[in-house]
Amino acid sequence: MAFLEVKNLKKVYTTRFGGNQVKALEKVSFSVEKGEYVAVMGESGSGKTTLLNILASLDKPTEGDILLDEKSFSKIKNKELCAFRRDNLGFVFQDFNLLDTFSLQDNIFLPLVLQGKSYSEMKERLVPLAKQLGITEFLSKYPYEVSGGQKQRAAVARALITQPKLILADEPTGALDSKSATSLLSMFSNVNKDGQTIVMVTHSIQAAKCAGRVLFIKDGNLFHQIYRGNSSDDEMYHKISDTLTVLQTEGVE
Amino acid sequence: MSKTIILPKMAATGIRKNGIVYLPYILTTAFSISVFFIFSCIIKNDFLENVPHAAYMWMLLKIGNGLLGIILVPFLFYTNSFLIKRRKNEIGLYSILGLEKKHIAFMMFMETLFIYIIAMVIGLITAVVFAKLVFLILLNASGLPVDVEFTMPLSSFITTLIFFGGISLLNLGTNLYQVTKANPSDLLREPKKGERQPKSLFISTVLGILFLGGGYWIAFVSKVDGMIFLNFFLAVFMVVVGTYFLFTSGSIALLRTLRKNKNYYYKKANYITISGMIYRMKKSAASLVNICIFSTMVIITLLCTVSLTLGEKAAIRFICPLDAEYVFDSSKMQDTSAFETDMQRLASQNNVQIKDKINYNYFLIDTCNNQNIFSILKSSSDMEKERLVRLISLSDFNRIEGQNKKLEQDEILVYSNTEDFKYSSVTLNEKVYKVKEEISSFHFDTKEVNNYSRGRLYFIINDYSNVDKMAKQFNDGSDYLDYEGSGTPYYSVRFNMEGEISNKEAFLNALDKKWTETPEFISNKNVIDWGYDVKSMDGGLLFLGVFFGLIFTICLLLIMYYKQISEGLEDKHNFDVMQQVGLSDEDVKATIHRQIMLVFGLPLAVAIIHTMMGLRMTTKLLYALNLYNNKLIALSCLGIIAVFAVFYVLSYFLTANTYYRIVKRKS
Ligand SMILES: Nc1ncnc2c1ncn2[C@@H]1O[C@H](COP(=O)(O)OP(=O)(O)OP(=O)(O)O)[C@@H](O)[C@H]1O
Ligand SMILES: [Mg+2]
Repeated sequence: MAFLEVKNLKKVYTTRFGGNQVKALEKVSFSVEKGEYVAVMGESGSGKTTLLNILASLDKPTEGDILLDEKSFSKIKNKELCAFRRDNLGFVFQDFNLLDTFSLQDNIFLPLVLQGKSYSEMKERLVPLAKQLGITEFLSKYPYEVSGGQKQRAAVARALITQPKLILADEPTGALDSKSATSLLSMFSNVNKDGQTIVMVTHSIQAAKCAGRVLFIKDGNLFHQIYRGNSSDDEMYHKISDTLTVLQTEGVE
Repeated sequence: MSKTIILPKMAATGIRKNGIVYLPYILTTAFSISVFFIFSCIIKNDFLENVPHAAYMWMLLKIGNGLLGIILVPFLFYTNSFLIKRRKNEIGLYSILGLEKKHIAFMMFMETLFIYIIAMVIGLITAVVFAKLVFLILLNASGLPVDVEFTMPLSSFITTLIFFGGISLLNLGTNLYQVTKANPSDLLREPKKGERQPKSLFISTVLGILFLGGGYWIAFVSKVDGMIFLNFFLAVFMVVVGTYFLFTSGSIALLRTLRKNKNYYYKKANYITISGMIYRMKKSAASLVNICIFSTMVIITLLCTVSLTLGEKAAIRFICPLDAEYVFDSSKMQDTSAFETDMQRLASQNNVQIKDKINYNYFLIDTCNNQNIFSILKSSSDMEKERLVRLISLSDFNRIEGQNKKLEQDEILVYSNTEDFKYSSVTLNEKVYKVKEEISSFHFDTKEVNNYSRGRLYFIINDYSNVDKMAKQFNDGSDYLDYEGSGTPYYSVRFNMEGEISNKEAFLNALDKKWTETPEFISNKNVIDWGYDVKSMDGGLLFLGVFFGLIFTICLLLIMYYKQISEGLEDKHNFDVMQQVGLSDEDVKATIHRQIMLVFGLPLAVAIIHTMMGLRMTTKLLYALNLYNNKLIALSCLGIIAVFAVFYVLSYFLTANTYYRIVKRKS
């Protein structure tokens, strides 16, 4: 059995005034093995964030189920969901979701505090992580005092610091210049080499080519997927951009 | 669409969309308008000046009206600050989208105008509906005749329109200043930015201690005299300022220390609470101070009201230990028994029985008093030490008090109805008397050590001819007599009555009619008339107490509401994120309760301390109203604090619940 099993996910949003229904996901199934690094690509509005939110148990699917380590999401009680999320999942949100009341350091500590870890342990975990992400000098600043890229790196640190079973990232390089993006991606690659499972939504081929597998979503359906296999980064880049071209031209028809 | 149409439209939408903060603001303003208008109508109904016994109440209402104005201005100003803070973001966006400052100003003007009109309409309609009712309640509480006409003069409408127009303009001005001076990006960021932390807490701590200490000190030492009201306001002002400084510096210092303690700070519940409070500590402190001050005011107002109600009877009895008193100039009476014969006759005609009748002669002399030396007033500088002394002969004293005391020529008895006289000898016009005994009670003049305003000193001298001589010496030797009755031989008759109240009144009326026009008549006093006076004054005070208690309570609730709502809206995003990162529902509840308990517990505790410190001053004010029952005051105080605490905890749960509903993540 795979580490993460996504079975027939369907998500229909009902707009506030009823009536209008938006089908964000139609029927999506795939699985992720332990230690895999998966990128999810697709046009804007194709349902990537929706998928990720459901994977993160932040949102409930209309139909279908997810199994993480053979544990079915639908069987977890609402009450335990929070603890489950805290202990197993780490995510980087598309819009960072840092708290203005906390300094970056305290933002990063947040999940650990919720887990009840001691200060010394938190500090021990933070120091190398901050160094790797290059945010050591901003740690005492508040979110509204730092740049978008610095915020994003803090958000990444917050996801990584709990050493979760699964990392979910929604466009983690969206706000970064190419240098910071490269260093973030190499960091993802490194933790992935150490056995960390990652699912990352991205628009950037640059980011996607680092992954071991790329899933393409179109109009709420899994359109295609490509495996890296033994290909190099460059070959991967071409494969992806070719698929994207097909994806777009088919959309025009 | 032209701007003159779209801008007012935007203003209307702005109000509607922010209903959660505007609605309470409009309702509060409307309520304030109602109260203000009703007060102003009542004052302008000039019958109050004519109805007997209403003078006190009229004066009290005037003071109340002034106070109301003083309270409403800062209160509405304060609530307005919540509104504008919420709107800054939106207005910043408008200005980025190309709305010029003058257009924003026009839009905000329209907004203010809409609110003003809506509040005015609601407020005035409510007022017109309820004014008569409130008026009748007032008359009833004061025991005044209720069949008088009540009018709502045009001038009251105008005053109300102008007063609240002024407040609206003040608020509009502040809002415009704040919005126009800032650039758009500041406006957009405004709601996010944490407050800048004050650099030095030392100065504000010292200022806080000075002001608070000063306020407490004034409350503690001030005496009941002409300065009491001034002192009272000064004390209140200093306590408010001191509380503000101390709350600010105290809470910041506390939070900082807590944050430094890593093992404490990085605990689930503390972490969120402390960081949230540091994030907005100055505003928090201001809200806390307001909650604390209004709580104190509610408690003290209720304390006065309840004590007055419970102590009214005793207060009337204090002034009239016997039901009625008549005083005559005995030198102009051929026969002192003529009055008593009339009295008995009229009493039986009116079915009233006379009981406990006493009569006695006395002199009231004007002296210059220096410790135990009483000398003749010789110069204008002596007037500063002026003191009235009552002289009674031993035989009268023994008769009316049922005693059998004996005195030598150079001995006297002393009675003071306030603090003990204490000296063992007295010098009266250079002659030294030995104080044989200080009498501890007179049944027609109750002793009360806390009586500051009506202290009376009696000297009892062995022989009436000596009393007469003494009075003449003091009277004839002085050119500076202030008290015109000095030297007059008084004859006083006092008695109690039994019978129907209407009969008693008829009897007293008949007796007054017969005797108050005579040349020998000096003064009269009876428990019924005095009761009306007291009731009118107390009723006025009660009315004010209840009204102000209500106003303070509404202010208090509103500040709590605004504090929780605005913080809930600010915190919503934080709680969302934290719940996404793994904060459970129970954690959310626990955090909120911890936060609100801290936030609400502190003001209540400080309010109780303030009340305790203000108790001395409050009791002194009550003493001035002849309420000397310390036990009653203390018990009312405890009871009120208990009731208030229950009320407070209830509003705590209510607000905690509102807050919880706002920040709870919908799933
Ligand atoms: N809360 C919601 N209510 C209603 N419709 C929604 C909601 N969230 C998303 N949608 C709709 O669902 C569809 C998928 O949205 P989603 O956010 O998953 O797109 P996305 O692939 O992440 O796009 P992007 O790359 O722009 O972030 C869109 O059509 C969107 O309008
Ligand atoms: Mg998205």
